Amino acid sequence: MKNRREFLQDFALWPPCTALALAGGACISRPDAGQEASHWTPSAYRKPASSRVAILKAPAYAEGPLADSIRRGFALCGLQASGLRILLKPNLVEGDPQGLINTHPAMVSAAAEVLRSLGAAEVAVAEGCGHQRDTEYVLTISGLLDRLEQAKVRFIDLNLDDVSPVELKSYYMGVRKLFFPDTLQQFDLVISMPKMKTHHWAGVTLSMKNLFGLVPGRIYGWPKNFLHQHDIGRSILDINSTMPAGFSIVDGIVAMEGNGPIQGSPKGMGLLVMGSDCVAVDATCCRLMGIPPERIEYLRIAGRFLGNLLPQDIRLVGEPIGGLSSPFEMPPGFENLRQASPPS
Amino acid sequence: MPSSEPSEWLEHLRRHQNPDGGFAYFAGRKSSLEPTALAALALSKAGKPFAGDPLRKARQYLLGRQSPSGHWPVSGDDRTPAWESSLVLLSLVGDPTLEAACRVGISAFLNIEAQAANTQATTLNPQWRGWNWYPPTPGWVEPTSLGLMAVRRLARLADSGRVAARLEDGRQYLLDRMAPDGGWNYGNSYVLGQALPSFLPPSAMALMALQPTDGASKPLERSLQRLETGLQTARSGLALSWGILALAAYGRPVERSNAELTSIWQRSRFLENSAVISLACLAAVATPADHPFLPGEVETGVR
Repeated sequence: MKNRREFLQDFALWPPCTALALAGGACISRPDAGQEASHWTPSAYRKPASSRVAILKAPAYAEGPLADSIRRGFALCGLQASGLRILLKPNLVEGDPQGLINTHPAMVSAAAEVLRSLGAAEVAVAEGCGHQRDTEYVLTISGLLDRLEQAKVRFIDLNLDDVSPVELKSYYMGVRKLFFPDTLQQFDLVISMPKMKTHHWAGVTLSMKNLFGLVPGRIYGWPKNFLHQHDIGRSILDINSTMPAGFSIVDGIVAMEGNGPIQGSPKGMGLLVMGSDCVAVDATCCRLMGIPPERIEYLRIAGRFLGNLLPQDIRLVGEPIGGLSSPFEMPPGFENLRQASPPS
Repeated sequence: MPSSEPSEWLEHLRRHQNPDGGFAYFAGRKSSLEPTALAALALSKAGKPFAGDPLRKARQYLLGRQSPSGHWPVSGDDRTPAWESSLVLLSLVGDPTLEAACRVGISAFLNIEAQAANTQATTLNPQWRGWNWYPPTPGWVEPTSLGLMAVRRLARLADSGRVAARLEDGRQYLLDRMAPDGGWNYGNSYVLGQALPSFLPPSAMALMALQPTDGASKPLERSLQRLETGLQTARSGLALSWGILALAAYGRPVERSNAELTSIWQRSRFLENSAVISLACLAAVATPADHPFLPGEVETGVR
């Protein structure tokens, strides 16, 4: 058996790797770079002329100050929540009492409180855990169940929801349809709430990767190996083109570096990153993590049709980014992502 | 048996059966295969008939979902064989009037085979395929365990050579995938040089699937001990129910886990998931001699 570094070195030498099958559910993100126009339908294109991304300081998970920061972020980004039915989609991976792997429960309850105060017609929380099938275990051990009960916010298990096949709006995976939960059609806005983490197969996991949790385990299993078999990066593109989140709030208060998304180390950043363009939010997170976002292949391709990647197309508001960036330790084999310029 | 909860659980199931005879994961949602198969198993082990014959209606729903080829497809739009086919077969076996459906069902199920595992990043032996969740993917511990249990229970209805081959493949698959701590992760024991921890539900399922029926084979003692240790801190209906079912299969004490299961029910109502409620019903009544996931006397001839 090879270690990660040897494995990735081998991978780099293989001919056009499109869907590398690993029994552990692992594929490296290497979508084709060429012939982009044929990979998506016109309805998938939603790249705005420019995007606003808010960076906010949030030193701890204290719910009051956290709510204030989130409220400020919504205002800076111009989010109008009044009258909307809003689904919060945190990243729940494991039974995680410290909130190091999952989006911290305080983030979720604070966001729900703020959205209600802004007049949202309904706020619910939904997730389809990609790793643990045991949702009760994840909710209980993480402390999220107690928070949701206190806040009287309902939780929807997207893994076990009623499902329908949906035509994809892009075709990177090589399939035409995926099943998605019917619940998604009942909400006006999905807010992706990931944790800022490195990822040992995809490089980073942020707003866009978080939407793997929209794909139902009751069809594709635990883990959702079907997505890995079709390449993680390609799957991220097709899911985000078809079932996009309309807003993102990234938990970068205590992030994760190293061997993420589960076995990495905590990294205190004390930041929230928010915005309505998930590509721009994720690109900004990458810059805060010391990673040129164009080096994450799925982000580079997403920057062509799903959102803005380039700094000149992203208007940063809130805290100035200078001085906040702190290079993340990368998973073994991904160190080159941190280099200053892309390879020729 | 823990107090009055099993009756309450069964009553919950009875009240939440959909008009089409099936069960949904959650009240008010559409019927689907897993919750219906588990509810049918729970009703069949209840030890008493219910007004309106919910068991017959549940089985009729499942029969209505079977394709002419014997598979249980994912949906009307997607004719891919569903991973729940093994559970459906387990819920139908034993009723002589359903033998034809079981016969064609198990024959079709025996032909479902997962992709070979990739060995670049793992220690897996690709020879052993098992069953997967959804093609085209390699095998995983939970569908393979359920598949193995279904094949064991329905063996007499299918080609003996094919049955023997798949039983051997399934057993070897599970032994190959055992985690270093003696339990099972979802499908790997090591990935990229790192040992993976075990989890309770797949560990419990694998132990049941590997339970010796010949009276001579030794049980997997280290795996059983790992499961018993893990159950002491289990905090969910799903983990405890599968764990109790596995311990019951080996005749191990389950009183403490049953008490914890009751306590969790009172706290969370298993988040109202009918599939978990059905598993709890089964956990409450399972014994080595009468177990919903293991071959009975007729099926093994050795017990």
